[in-house]
Amino acid sequence: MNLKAVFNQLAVYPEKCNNCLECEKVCSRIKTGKESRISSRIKTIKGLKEAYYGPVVCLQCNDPDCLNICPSGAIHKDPKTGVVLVDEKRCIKCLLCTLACAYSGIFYSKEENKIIKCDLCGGDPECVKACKPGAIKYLRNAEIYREWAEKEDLFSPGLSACMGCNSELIIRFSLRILGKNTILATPPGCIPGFGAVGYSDTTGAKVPVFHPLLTNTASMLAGIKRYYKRIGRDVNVVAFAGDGGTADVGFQSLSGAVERGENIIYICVDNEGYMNTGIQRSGTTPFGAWTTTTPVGKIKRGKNREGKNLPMIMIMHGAPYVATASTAFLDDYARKLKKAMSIKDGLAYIHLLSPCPTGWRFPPEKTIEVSRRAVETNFFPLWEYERGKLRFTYPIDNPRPVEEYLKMVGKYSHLGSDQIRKIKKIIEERIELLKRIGA
Amino acid sequence: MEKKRYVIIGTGPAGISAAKLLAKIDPESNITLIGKESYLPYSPTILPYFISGKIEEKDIFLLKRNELKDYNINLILGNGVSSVYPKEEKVFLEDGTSISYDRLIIANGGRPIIPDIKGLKDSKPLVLRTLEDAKILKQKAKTSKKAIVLGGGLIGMQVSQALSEMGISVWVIEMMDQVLPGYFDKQSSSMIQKVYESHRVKILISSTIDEVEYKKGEYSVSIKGGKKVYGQLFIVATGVKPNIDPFKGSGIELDKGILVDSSMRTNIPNIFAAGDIVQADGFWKEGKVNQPILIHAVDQGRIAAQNAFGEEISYAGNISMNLFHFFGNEAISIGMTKTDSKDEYYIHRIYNPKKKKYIKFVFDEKGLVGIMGINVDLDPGILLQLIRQRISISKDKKEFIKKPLEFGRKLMCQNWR
Repeated sequence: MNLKAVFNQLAVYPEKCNNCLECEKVCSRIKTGKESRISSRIKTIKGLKEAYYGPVVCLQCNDPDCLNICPSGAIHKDPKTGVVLVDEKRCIKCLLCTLACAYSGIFYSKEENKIIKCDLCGGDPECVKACKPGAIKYLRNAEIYREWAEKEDLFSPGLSACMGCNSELIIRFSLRILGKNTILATPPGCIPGFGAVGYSDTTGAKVPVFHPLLTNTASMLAGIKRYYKRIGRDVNVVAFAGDGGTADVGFQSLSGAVERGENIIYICVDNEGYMNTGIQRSGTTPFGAWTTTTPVGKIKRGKNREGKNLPMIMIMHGAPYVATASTAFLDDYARKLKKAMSIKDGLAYIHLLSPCPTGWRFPPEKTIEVSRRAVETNFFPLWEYERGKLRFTYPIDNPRPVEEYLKMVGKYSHLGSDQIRKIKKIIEERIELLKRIGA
Repeated sequence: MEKKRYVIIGTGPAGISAAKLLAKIDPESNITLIGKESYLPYSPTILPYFISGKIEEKDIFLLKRNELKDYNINLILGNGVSSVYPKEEKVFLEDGTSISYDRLIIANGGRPIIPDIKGLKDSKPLVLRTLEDAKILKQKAKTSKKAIVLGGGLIGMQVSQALSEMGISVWVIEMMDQVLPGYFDKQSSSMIQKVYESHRVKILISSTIDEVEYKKGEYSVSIKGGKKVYGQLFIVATGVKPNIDPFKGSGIELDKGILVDSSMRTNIPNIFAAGDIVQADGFWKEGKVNQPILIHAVDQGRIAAQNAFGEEISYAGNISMNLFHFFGNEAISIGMTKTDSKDEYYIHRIYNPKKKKYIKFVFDEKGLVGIMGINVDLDPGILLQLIRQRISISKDKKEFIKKPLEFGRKLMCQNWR
């Protein structure tokens, strides 16, 4: 019934397909017991002059045309899994479904004398496992989006972030996961700046939002949390602080809170500088980046120091849970945020990258792409650390060259090859360090 | 805001698909679906399969009582529409009650044509349009050995197949010089005819009936030219015509059927129509055509629903198409398949008598305009899109002809997946 429902699904990456036909072989073997191209539910495109369009497979449409046309009501869409299934008992083999489907997802098989289609192998598709080049993937992140879509948006419309900024996405998405049993603190920075604390005594948030000083976010939240604990209520006490409010000005109170084991969730929305006050450098501004205080001219070429590796510092401080996250991988972030909510004996820290179109100099529609590329190049690896164990949540082997990320962002446009070499070295060292902790 | 009141006349495929889609896109609305028959909604396409026993009565309904609540559809059955008053925005039912609407979708379907043949009407021939018709036919078929089917169109051929599968010998009488003249050329229809003839179905083409006599449970049919055929069953399958009687004089513009624009809207802005009752745009700009087939009914019902809701979606136009499965064989015809004009079109045929395969391609200067095949592996849905979206295949015709299945899939990947 729900046209907006999201389900786990097969994704095809045609550029990776080498037409090895393994998917067809395994599919027909699983479904019929023998290998045959005709009875495979997944189809490769073979024998053409230009090859490689990747396998063709049922899209498990949300409003399937095969279902809509079926005169015997034999086709239905499972409301839980989203899989479109044919009921053999009711099917009259009129073949009209094959005329209605524009995607070659449903066929009549003479061999089996029935209508056949992909059923996602009940949730564990064999073709995915058989596809060595990785041209077919099974995306399992639907549940989180479905859950997210069903929850109430805890901010009213009309937040006024810069065009293309992902902070509005971050705050709306996070609050849907955190739920109403939450108290926020947003120290000076872009998040209160775009209206999260409201104007003239009014706020757009449907949960309490405090606006602490830059210096005392963590200590203020520690007090709030302790008060609620005393009166017997378990609430999520959450900071959304910028990198200035976390790594620089707010650091002493954060450091103290981690050391004391205060049970708060601290989310650093890192846009690598003081972006709402005029794009000045901060502790987390990466090496080589242009800001108004690390200018590019005849002598200076952007920041000449490495950015502060704050998530690593949090590990060293002894926080029970530390993770990095990106809005290009929201399902990953949602899992990490839920994990953070489950921590009851100390501070959970999440470092979220927030590429800033205004301060980093890139087109506003590219924010998510920049976020993704930062992860894919290992510039901003995704991982989580829990009580001594570190695990990468996005593969770090075979990263894309970092140049692909740097060239997307204007603040790196001046970089010389020596600076790029240095950036590569920093990335390598940081990955090595993470691997050592993980090992 | 007041709930919008949608009234849909007709419980066939167009009405069902309109009601179901409205329930999804406008869940807060008030949807009423009105059916003349007392049965729950079903698709008439199922009826030949019901007769032959491939599906039981309990499985044919497309909207069950328990689903109505989920869909929030108010269903009125056994009560046809007698008239519509667009000025008062009211529909009057046969029992004298009336229903007000904000948006009306007419999907009243068609009814069988009974040709004017001597003795035909008095002989009470059977037709196949409703479940009631099918039940009578199924009951009578149980005690019959021979049947006569007037009309070698799609319904006639499907009924013949169903009867043959029940062990009944069938005579099909077709006026034209081939069966399925609406969809298939002579070559393919003669292949289809052969298959039927090997399954107890004898087909008389280029034949018309002089007279029908019915005595003591037996029909005797005199065919022009002197031949006589006999049977215990006589079924008329000479096509359907739109059921427009209730709308005459209402102000809704009618021709053979209800005239609609590309949004399935009639001349009255809040009245839409869909399915077998309409005369909608033809895809090839040939004017308004009535083409009563299931796939159009479903498409049109959905488009009428979306436009009634307020979205602006336009119908691509009727393209002649059909697909059917007979005695283990498949036949497909989409688009302009009957043409043989080599000046206007590039036509390519492949016939393999041994494998009983046949395929005919028709291209214009841009791409595919028609394809017809018997027992060939094709993706019908992709071919339909190639024609409907006018995908360019001018340079690659030869490769396409060689591998229509694979090449079609490639074009799908490139153009609309």
